[in-house]
Amino acid sequence: MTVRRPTTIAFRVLLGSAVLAIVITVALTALVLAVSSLRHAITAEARAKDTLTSALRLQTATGELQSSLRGYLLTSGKRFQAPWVLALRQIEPAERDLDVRVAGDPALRSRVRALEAEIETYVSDYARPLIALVQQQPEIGRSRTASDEGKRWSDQLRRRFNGLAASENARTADRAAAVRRASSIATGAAIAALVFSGVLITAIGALGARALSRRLRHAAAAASEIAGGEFSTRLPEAGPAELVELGRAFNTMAGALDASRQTLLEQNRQLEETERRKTELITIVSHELRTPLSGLIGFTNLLLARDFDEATHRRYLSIVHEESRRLSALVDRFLDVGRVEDEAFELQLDPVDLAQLLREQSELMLAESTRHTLVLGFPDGPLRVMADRERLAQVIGNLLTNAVKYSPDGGPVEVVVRDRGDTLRVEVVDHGLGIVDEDQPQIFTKFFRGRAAERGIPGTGLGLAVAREIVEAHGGEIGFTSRPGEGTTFWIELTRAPVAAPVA
Amino acid sequence: MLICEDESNLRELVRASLGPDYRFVEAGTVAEAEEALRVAAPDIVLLDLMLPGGSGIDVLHAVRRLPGDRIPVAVVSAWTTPEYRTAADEAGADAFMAKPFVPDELAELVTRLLP
Repeated sequence: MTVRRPTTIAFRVLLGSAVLAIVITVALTALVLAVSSLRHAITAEARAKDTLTSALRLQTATGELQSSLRGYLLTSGKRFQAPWVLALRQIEPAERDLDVRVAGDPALRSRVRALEAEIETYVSDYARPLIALVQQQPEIGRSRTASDEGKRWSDQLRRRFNGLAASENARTADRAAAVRRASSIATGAAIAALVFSGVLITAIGALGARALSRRLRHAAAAASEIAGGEFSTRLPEAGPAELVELGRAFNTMAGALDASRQTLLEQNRQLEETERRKTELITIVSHELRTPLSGLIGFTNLLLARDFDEATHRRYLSIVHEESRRLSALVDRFLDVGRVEDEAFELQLDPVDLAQLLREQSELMLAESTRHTLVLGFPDGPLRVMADRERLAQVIGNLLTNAVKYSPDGGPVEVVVRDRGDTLRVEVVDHGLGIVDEDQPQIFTKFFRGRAAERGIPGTGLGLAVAREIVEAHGGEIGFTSRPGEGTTFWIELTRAPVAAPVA
Repeated sequence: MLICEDESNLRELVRASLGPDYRFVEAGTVAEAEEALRVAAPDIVLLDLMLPGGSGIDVLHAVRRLPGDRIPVAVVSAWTTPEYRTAADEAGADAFMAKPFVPDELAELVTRLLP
């Protein structure tokens, strides 16, 4: 599994914060260390001071010891005995105090021990014997005061004390210098860290936040544009992962909105189209009904208002009858508007003699037009299909009526049956106006009339739509070929009925 | 009288309505109508607007183009909307009768139009 370093805003912010935290931690640690070492230094300084004070006290005590001894010698033992004892008594506590002070420092402790040993030696090997001597021979005392031994002791002790103080001072100076160095470094590091943090924060703020804010504003503006109706707006899908996601989601949404709007516009257009055609249909229907009605009203009016001979009377009545039936047929055809919408199209399938049906319908057609001639072309043998006779008659009737209507100058109408093995194909051919290329895709559309209205050809635009529904409900096919100016051939293809079945 | 109507029953109705005093010439298409205009020289034309092969208006124009005296034309049609009436009027129709019509009224109209 490969791990790609994520380029997300979250990551960048986290990274920046982590770096910042580390830098600040480092700075604070440095400062803490500096403060700590300063505290140490202060403590050590205090201790050194105490040590020196203690050493000074001891030095003072030994000084008093020496001067009281000298006084004793000078006065030949008569005076200064008490001071000597007092001074001597002060040595021990002073030494003990100094011992305590230097307990933690081995180097210092050995120096102090050496010093104390020296003092002890001075007392036991020089002072006491001398005192004992003077007590016995007081006159020697005076002469001994000027002796070198006393001076030698004094210098030695003084040297030791100075050495102790000097070493202590040197150490203190060294420590002070080290602390100053450390604190300078720490302060420098802290300042550098703070400056760096400041720069980092500014950078994140200035660059990161501004860039992010810019992209977000851009997204908001794009959303407003889409709200305003401009559906082609898109966001760039680039940059850190979150913004890529935002861009993609936004673009998908915009795309979906655009698509659904297009769909709605198209549906709207189609609905408007259907509405328009329906309105046209209503107009056409009302006009077409008037033709048989004219016959009905006119002839019944004549029959009631005037007298005619028997033959004419019968004739007019039969026309009334005929027109009533035509009116009824028209109404039925118009009622099919509802049934075309209705999916539950019930068919009564029986074997039907196609030849007989075609002949019947053709005769009806001929009766309607004197200008057309009929040409039939059937192959030999029984031509039977499984069909709903009434509905099939309706389809054939429609095709024949169209053939007549759309060849207004008259001419032949051919009705041909072709044997296709499992199926039979019926072709109705006219040599009339034909159908122009633009209209051909819409021929079976409900209410579509093409050029018919212009040419004064009546019709509802429903006949073929209904015909197609019927043929397809039979499991068959319907189609046409046409050349403008030359004529049209409509064909339907239906499954043959099994041969042995009785004929409807 | 030239009757331009494609429904044969309605042509018969017109004949029956107007009676035996007229001689009738019948046309069922625009082509037949124009032919009849040339050949038969009618005194009056009854014209339906829905004719195969074109529009009744074309026939009307043809009538108006004929030389000689102005022949009265009555449009008899099921298309009774204002646009069609105006079109008929502008093309030079002298009268407009809507279908279905009352036979006596048609007879009266014809009498009125003929000089």
